[in-house]
Amino acid sequence: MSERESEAAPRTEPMTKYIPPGYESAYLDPTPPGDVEPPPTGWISWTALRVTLGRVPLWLIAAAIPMALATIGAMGWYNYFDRVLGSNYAMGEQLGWLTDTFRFDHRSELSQLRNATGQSAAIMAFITFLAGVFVAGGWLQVFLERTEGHSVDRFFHGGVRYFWRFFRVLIGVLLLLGLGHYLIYGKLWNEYIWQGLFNVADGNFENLSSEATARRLTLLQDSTFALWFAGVMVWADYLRTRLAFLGSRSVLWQGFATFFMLLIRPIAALRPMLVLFVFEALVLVGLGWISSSINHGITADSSASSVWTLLGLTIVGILWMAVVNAARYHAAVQVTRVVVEPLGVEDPWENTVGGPGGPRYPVGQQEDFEISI
Amino acid sequence: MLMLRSIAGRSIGAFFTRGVLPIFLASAATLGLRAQNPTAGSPDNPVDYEISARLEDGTHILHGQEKITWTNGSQDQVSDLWFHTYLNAFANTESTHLSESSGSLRGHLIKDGWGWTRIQRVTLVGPEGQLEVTPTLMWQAPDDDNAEDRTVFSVTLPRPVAPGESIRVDVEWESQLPRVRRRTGYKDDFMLVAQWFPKLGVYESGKGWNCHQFHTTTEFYSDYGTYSVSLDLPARYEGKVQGSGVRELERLTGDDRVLVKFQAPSQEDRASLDRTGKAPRVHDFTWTADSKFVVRQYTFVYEEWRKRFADEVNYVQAALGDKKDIALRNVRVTVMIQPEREEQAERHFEATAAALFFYGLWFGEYPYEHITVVDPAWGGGAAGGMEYPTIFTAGTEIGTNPDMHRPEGVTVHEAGHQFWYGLVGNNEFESAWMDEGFNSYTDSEVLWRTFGAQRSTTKYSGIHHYGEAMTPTSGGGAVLAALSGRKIPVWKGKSITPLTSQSGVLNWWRDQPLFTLSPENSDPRWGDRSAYLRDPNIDPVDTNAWEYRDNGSYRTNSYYRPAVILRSLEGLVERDHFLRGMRHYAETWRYKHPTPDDFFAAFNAGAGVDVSWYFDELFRGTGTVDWSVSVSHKDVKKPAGLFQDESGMWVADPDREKPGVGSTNGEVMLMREGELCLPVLVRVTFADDSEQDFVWTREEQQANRWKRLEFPATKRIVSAVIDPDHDWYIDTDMSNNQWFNKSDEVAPLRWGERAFSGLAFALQFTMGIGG
Repeated sequence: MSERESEAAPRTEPMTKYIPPGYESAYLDPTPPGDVEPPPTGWISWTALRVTLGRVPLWLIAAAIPMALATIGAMGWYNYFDRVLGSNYAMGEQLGWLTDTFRFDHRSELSQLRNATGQSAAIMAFITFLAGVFVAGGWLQVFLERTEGHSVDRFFHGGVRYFWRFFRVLIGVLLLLGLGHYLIYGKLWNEYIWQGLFNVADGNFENLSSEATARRLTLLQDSTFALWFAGVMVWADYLRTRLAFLGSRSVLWQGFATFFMLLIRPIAALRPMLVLFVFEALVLVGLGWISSSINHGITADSSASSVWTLLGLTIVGILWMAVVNAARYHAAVQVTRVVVEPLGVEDPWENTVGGPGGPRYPVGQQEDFEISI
Repeated sequence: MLMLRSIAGRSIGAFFTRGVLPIFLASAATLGLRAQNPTAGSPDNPVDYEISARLEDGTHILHGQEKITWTNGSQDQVSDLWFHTYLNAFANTESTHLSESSGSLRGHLIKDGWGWTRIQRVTLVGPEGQLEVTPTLMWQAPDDDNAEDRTVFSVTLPRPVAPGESIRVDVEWESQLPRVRRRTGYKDDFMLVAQWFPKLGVYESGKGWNCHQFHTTTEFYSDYGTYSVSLDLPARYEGKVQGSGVRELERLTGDDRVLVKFQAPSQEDRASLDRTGKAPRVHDFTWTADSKFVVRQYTFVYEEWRKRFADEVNYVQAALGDKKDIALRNVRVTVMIQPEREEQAERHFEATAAALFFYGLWFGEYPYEHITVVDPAWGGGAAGGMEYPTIFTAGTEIGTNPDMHRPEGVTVHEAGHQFWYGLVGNNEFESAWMDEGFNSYTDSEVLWRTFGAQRSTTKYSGIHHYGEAMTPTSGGGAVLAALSGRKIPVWKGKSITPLTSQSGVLNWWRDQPLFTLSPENSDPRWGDRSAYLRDPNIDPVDTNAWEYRDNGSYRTNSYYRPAVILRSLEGLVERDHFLRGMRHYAETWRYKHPTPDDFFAAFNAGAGVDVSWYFDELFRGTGTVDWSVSVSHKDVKKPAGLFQDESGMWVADPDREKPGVGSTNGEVMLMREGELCLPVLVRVTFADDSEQDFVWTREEQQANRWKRLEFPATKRIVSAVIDPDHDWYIDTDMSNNQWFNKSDEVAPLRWGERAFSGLAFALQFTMGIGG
């Protein structure tokens, strides 16, 4: 591209490139002062979903990451079965389920395949952690800017821009989940909850008098951890949003602030997240039920269409999760705009003179100047 | 049979005479006659127990007295008596039972809840009066000389018991029931009281007492007889106690005690003959009680099952002959179930009825009027899955369905033991496989016919979901564990485990089982094969139960390998012969003590075949077999080169003809690995839909490890399959038994899709954690 062409071309680089470090927040939202977004209503979640669904390329990108990685892992399985079934099994013999003889006779190969897949999955999990960090930045950039068009560019820009801040958030998330695991499945729980409240020594439920009680206690413990997990996830969503909204880099400080925000405004903050979770779960359970019905109905005579349908349902499920995940950020942005005050920053142009659109000149205390018209 | 009944009647009458010293010394002449002419079906050494016991509330200490009348059925002069005191296996970690299991039973390291039996007095009672022989008591350890083991003791008699002579011995003892860790004991208010009284071993003619210590891997062996048992229990057990045989009396005594009496078998059963013409007897007595039991009563009605499985009934009738009476008696079934699992009572009954029907149809009817199914209390699961005469423990959990075979699997298995362990009383110490193996074979057949394939499930917080995860979503060593957030090292060996989630709720969300699990169905018959092949050639099946290499070998060779051998035997001799052979064995040796050789002989006689070689190689050898097949095609080419003409000259012959030139001949190559040579069917199918069967005979396999089958081009091979009817469950690798000219293109896609779905949702989950 020639210099002339460059000048002629519309400017695509982010405006924030020209903003002094530490002052991004003042410029993130180009909304004119008189055009303040109305306070979020009960339809935050619906709005979030609607807006997010409109950003088709973005959620396609977000969902493509796990699916692309899963495809790599699945290719090993496809190739294995293609090779092993070969001419050794009758048509459809291993289609509905793998027979006892197949599972046993190929147990060592299947075990190797599983081990290899597990190792790959561990690496992929790390990649998806980072991908999640990146995608979160992308979504927040897009939602906070409320741009029209160029959303893919803005998305990637946001991913890069917030990456290290959100990576630190990831570390915080992992630490909190580790803490939760320690608290809920560790010695303290055994001592104070099981032993103290339910008289269960060493976490051995056999000492209880009924299976139903043991089941309920297991469910209680598991649900507690699930709630802890959900809480950490919500906290992290709001923390990322807050960091982006305020342009802050202090994950620790804003983490505390986010925590207190959640304590002070729990309904405003948690309700949209809960509604989104319910949306997400309902759709997933519905799709999953269809998927499960097809899956368990496959027999030796079934055609490839059943398999393609299963694949399609999985893809739709993943896309939906990607959409809802993004919608959580949109909802968090809406809530954050209302409940979080922007940082009070000095006007960088306060001591300058110059007309709108024109050059501005710094003004010194002792400087004598006048404006001639 | 009439003679036997008259003897039994006299002995019981004498014992129940009150106010007179119970005297019993049967006519030596009469009993001698019996010993010299043993009638098929009479117990080897008839023994009758009259037991009364009192259980102390709270302490689980039991005070008991028993009066044993034992008849020497051997040809020997017997100068001592040997007893089992099984509860002492749970006295300390040095007992043979616990030392063999490294102090752990069913996954629990035993640290408390010890159990023991203390013999207080052993008295001989005869016409001359009473003679205490307690001072002659000696603890015995015939198997391992373990001085700390107290599971066998003997007392010396003042004079030998002559062949055919009966002797009366009274024993007083005190027992502490153990916290149930295996088979017997208590958990809270629940009790399964098994192997709880001093019980005589089995005297074998010419061999002496067969009275083994209680090993980890051994069960029981004792003589058939009758039991009259009286229990004095805390009153809260009223209506919530059941035992072997039938409960004939239950009466509150005072405010806080209840007296319960049992007869095993019931008086009615004792007095009648079963369809094999023998008087029913039992060889043990066990009881259970739990004030929380919900008691449900059902009746197994043969006619209902006959209609339901009419084809099978007709087949068995045809196999055994039209004159054979294969009808079964109706049986009362009592289900003692925990209140929280009450809705499963009907399923326990259904599974028990299935066993009563199929086992009875194939091997002869269940001869007793009653059977009890026990559902152990929560935390008492170690008492589950055990069989005792006319009573057995199952094992289940909340939230299962019949197609999970839980409790159906264990219920059919334990109910099925009534027909092998219960009715054909082989020595379970030395030939456990004759019970467990035969029973494993049969229970799989029953489960398959009644409940179909077992559907695997994955549990999330105790809730079952059908299917199994196809692909793991984590793995690798420490580095990968850290990268994937499962175990992140923090400081000086300390680590955090953010994503090593034990939470079933969270795992459910991560796994999205509705999308990702794969169906997994298991045919219990093939499950036996899989279990057998985990340890296929370490020990011969026919080994003392405690002398297998390890517990794994014991399980393989006592349960699964015999099951596979029997199922393969069914294929070898064909099912009708098999049924005749097994039926003949079961009926001939009912209420007796068959050895492996007795089984082999009875089977051959009943089936009308001689497969002694099979028994010898399979039960007493460690050989295996793996057949394989491959198919190749060869183009028939035009002859080329020089050919000798009539004058003996080598000349070119471009017009030389050869049939089939330009076409392709097929060749099927059969191969055999392993030592076993078993006749096997090979089926070749051709493009014109015709098929040809070949038998690769035992003799051919003994001569060569391979066999080639050739087919002309006109017979285009579509498939070649070894053992197409799946007669040989014993083949160690069946993945090479088939060849097809077309490959399945959909199946790889399906399993690729399953892997994709599993991974995609797991990765979506981790991506969500990243942001």
